[in-house]
Amino acid sequence: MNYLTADVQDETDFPPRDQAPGLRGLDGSLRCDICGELYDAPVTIACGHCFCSACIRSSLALKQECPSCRASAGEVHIRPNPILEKVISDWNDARPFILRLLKQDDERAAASSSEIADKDKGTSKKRKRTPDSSKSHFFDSNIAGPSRNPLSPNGKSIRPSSPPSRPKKLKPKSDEVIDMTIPSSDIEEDEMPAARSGNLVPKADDLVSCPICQKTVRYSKLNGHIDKGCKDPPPAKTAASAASTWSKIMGGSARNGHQKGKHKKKGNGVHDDDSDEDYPLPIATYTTLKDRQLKEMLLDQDLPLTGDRSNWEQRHQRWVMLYNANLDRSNRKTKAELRRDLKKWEEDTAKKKKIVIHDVIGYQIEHKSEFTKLIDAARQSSKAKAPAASGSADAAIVPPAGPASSSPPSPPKSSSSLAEFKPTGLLPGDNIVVDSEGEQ
Amino acid sequence: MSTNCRKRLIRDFRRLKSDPPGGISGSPLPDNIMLWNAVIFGPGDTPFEDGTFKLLLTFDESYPNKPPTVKFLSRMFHPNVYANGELCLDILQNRWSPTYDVAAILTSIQSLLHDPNPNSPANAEAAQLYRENMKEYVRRVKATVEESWLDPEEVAEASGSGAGGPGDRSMEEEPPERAQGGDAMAS
Repeated sequence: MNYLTADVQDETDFPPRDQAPGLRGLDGSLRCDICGELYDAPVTIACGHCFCSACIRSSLALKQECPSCRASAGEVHIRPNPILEKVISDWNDARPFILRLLKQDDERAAASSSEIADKDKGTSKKRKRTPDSSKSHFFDSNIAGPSRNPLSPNGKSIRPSSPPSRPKKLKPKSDEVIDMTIPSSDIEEDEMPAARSGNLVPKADDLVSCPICQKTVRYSKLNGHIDKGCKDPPPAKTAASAASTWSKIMGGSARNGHQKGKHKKKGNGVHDDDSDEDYPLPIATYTTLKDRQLKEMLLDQDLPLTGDRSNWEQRHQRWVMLYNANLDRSNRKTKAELRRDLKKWEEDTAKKKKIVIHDVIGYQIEHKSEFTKLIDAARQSSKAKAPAASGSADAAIVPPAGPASSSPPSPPKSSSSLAEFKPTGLLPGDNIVVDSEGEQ
Repeated sequence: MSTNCRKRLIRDFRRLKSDPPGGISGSPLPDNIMLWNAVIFGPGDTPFEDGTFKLLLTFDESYPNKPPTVKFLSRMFHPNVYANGELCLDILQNRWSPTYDVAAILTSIQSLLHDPNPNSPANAEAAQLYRENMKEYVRRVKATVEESWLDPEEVAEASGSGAGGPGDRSMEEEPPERAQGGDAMAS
């Protein structure tokens, strides 16, 4: 099962909702419904649905409609979504970090459950985590990518001062920050960082550091200080970093994008011209082109002339797509990189041949044990869904890939509920219609 | 292993495993992720109930921009399934969307068993019986349900023995068309 260990990230890297609320859903929502990757050069089309620029361009080349809702759509509707792009880039940074915290958390829980009686400090709290840790074995087996990376040294992860509690997962900051969540009166008792026992709660006159600006404040004044937005005497450091953050948000990315695009002068682009860089290439209608014209167009873009006419068309079409999708990125690739992408794509599609199985019975005999396993799995899934009218937490967490994610999770597909059965991933208004024989 | 298509198929598999739709399972071959085996349980309250129908899904690098080829390995008696096991299902043809994944495909097929469309028949006889003689339709479907429980060797034996028909249970009523179907599959 080597493909299971392949370095492919997806939302199931995160534990289900009952263990880490929102994380799996968040990661899933930041993924393109076509390729399943975190959005690369996210764009929005007229209906509001969002895809990677390259994904929607290749889909629109085949069919002029939104893959999610079937609203009619065209290349002209494509608009870059720089905000989402920024979100993705931040999430890309945060993701491995959060996964590492989750993993540490898990290990700590496992460690504490094995040596329950050993430690007196915080033992009772730690024991509480034990049931959780058994559940998350499932999650462990699904971990891919960064979560497989070696963790930080054990000594660090077992230190008693970082409690294995939920708030910690959601606030991946330094320990001091977490310390300070205690005084806040609206945090429920059971949500408090666990290992903080009562004697750590500061008294009114104690000096504590503000969880937001890190400034030392009297505990009694802390709430007022936060209410004023940490402004009493503004700590210079925070102000500076805020300013830089704002400048980044307000224009940094957009302007950078343009400049990067302009400054990347390609060495091999004889026909490159600065003024062209920001304009998309026109989509060609290949049927009306003569061989000579098509050749010129390929040469114009410094593309090879290997293969036959259909290769040229595909190459040029794909190039236009890659090129235009690249314009929707704020960190643009160079033309050389794009050419490499094109080459790789050509190699990939060259090995596109569907295997045809002729000897159906022989195939079944050959794969008998696999089918036996699958039958067991299907039986389990139907059992799991049948009595789970309300309890199937998992089903509620992972929204189907399709646009159906906006609608409530599909009803359990037990045998009894098939009357109002609607398949999960299907588009709204999609009945199961069977098309006429002549279609294909 | 690193093409977009393959990554997408790995994700499809993870999703199918972490939240399997009821009565459905599927998995790529250990040595070839482009080839998937799948099993669909016949939906309850239909003549297909309790059937364990086996399918084969074949992908190529154009997935998910183009749909996979889906084929029943188990013999089916259904208005929209051809004798060779291929399906007549719009979302696998002109209504395909690249947002569909394996779970969505299998779920659609399961619901096709529940709601056949006799207006665009792939199996004219099944469509006719479905419209005009439900009792006989149910009987014929049940025969395939029982056949779906057999080991492939037994199926091979049943359909290979005698030019008559694919299975003992339904042999006497087997019209020539069906028998051909059985032979084609065995060959």
